Amino acid sequence: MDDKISTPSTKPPARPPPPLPDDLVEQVLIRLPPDDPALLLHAAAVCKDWCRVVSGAGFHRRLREFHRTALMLGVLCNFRDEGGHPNNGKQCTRFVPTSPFRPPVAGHRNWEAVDARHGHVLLNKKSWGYLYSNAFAVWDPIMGEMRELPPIPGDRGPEVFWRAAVLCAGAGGGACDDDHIDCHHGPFQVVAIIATDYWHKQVQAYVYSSEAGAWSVPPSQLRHADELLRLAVPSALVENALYFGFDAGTNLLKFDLATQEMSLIPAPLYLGQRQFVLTTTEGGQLGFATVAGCKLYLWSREACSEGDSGWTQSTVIELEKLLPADALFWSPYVVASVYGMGVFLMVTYDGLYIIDVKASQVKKICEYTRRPGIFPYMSFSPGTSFLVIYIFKSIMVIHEP
Amino acid sequence: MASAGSGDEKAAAAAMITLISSDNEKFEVTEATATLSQTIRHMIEDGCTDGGVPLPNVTSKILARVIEYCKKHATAAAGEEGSSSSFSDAAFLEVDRAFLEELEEFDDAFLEVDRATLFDLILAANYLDIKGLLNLTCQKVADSVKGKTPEQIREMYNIVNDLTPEEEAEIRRETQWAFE
Repeated sequence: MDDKISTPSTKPPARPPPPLPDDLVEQVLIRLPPDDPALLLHAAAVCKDWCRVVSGAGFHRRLREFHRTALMLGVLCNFRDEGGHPNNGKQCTRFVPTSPFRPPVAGHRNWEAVDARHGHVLLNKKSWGYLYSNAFAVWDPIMGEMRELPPIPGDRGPEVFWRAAVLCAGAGGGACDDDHIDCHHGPFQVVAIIATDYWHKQVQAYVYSSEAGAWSVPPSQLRHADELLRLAVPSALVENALYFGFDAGTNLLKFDLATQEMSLIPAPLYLGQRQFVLTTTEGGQLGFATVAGCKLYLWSREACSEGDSGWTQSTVIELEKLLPADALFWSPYVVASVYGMGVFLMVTYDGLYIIDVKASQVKKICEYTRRPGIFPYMSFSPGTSFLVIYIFKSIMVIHEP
Repeated sequence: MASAGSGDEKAAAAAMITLISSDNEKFEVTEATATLSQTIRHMIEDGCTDGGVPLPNVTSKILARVIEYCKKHATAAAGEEGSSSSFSDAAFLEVDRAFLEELEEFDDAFLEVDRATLFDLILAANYLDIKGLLNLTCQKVADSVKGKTPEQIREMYNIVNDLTPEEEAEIRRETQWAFE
């Protein structure tokens, strides 16, 4: 087709294409590959009509509905600055792209990523290698915004075991649909679960609401006489609840977002000395993934006929068939999973790999080999979010007399 | 009934519809072909197709292409129905796959048109409400825009840049990474 237009010939010049009305321009632009926001930005710079189409509020929603699935734009990795002493080197978190998208700010020094969900990244301030510091911030890599949170109420030492999760404000309250396609960059909540006693027999939940700008302390506490409640694994969001893992014992922690109550549910395996992640299966159930030797074992928690839930080992993946031999010098670690997609991030001797279980595909992301603190960053059509908020606004400003 | 010969007999026996282009050319098509267009389907349902269906927004040149598309895809639809009712063996599925490949090749060849015709086809597919054709043609334009600079896109599709230099600079400034 290009040749027909660009090759000079004896024929009369090609008839120019007729203009398309806005709704048909939208039909074209909605079909651009969604993982490369640069394409939409180029389209916006073509003319006023096209700019208006891609920056229209409705376009954003229709684009996400058209493409439906969220895309992994990158992973958050926590690095220690080179040259620093292992215990006091400055910590930083960096956005490592796995798509053409590049955030306006690539990372944050002195902060460590501790969770990422619904377009938000939860950061915890690092100082002198402490396990816990009472300083949190939420970063939106697409918008380039960072918001520091007030301290969590109460005093506690740095050696406390804790885990925290960030998610959209509508999760759990029914205000957001299961796909979460419309909540990115909006109000968020942070749930922190922190041990309240030296012996790690009791935990307390704290909930921050970005709309209220404050932490609340739900009345429920969780106590266990026999097991150590040392939180050690990032959370998974399944339906109305967040699930956290411990570094030992036979239970997982469930935090019900609607009732704000905590409870223990059985884990599929004894957790001590085991490295695992919690995930959401493609069927929307709670999943559990662990590596033993060179095999990745996937479990899913499914409702039994009696109405009770039980664990089923759903898949065993032979990693030797997927990963190069170099990567299997030692047993790889599964460090994160991508919500509901059967995609796992694994730290290996050879670096960080992403494994798509369903498609039997692997891809090396970077040389990163530190184990904790890797979080996939998912989003729908980052280009349009950017456009809606920034470009259109700035153009409107230009137009004002 | 799913063989090619009997399909033609069935088509011959089916009701014919006359479509009239903006330049007054008349096209006789089967109802199965015509009803790929939701717009025409509704007109048939409303019983207002006697004396032909005037399509004042579509030229004879474009209407001929649209009918070519509809004929091919109407046959495909009929084939699918036949396969589900009377055949399920592997041999027939093989034939089915071959036909789908043929359909894909047809679509690729169908899109080998100049840009003006491509846009005309989008407008016609939209007016006649033919989802498959609208998807096909819009995807083709989207694919052609991929990897092009704003200048190249304007040149390709005859679009006048009415953004002021300030506006353009603003878009590029805010999203520098996309233009590097």
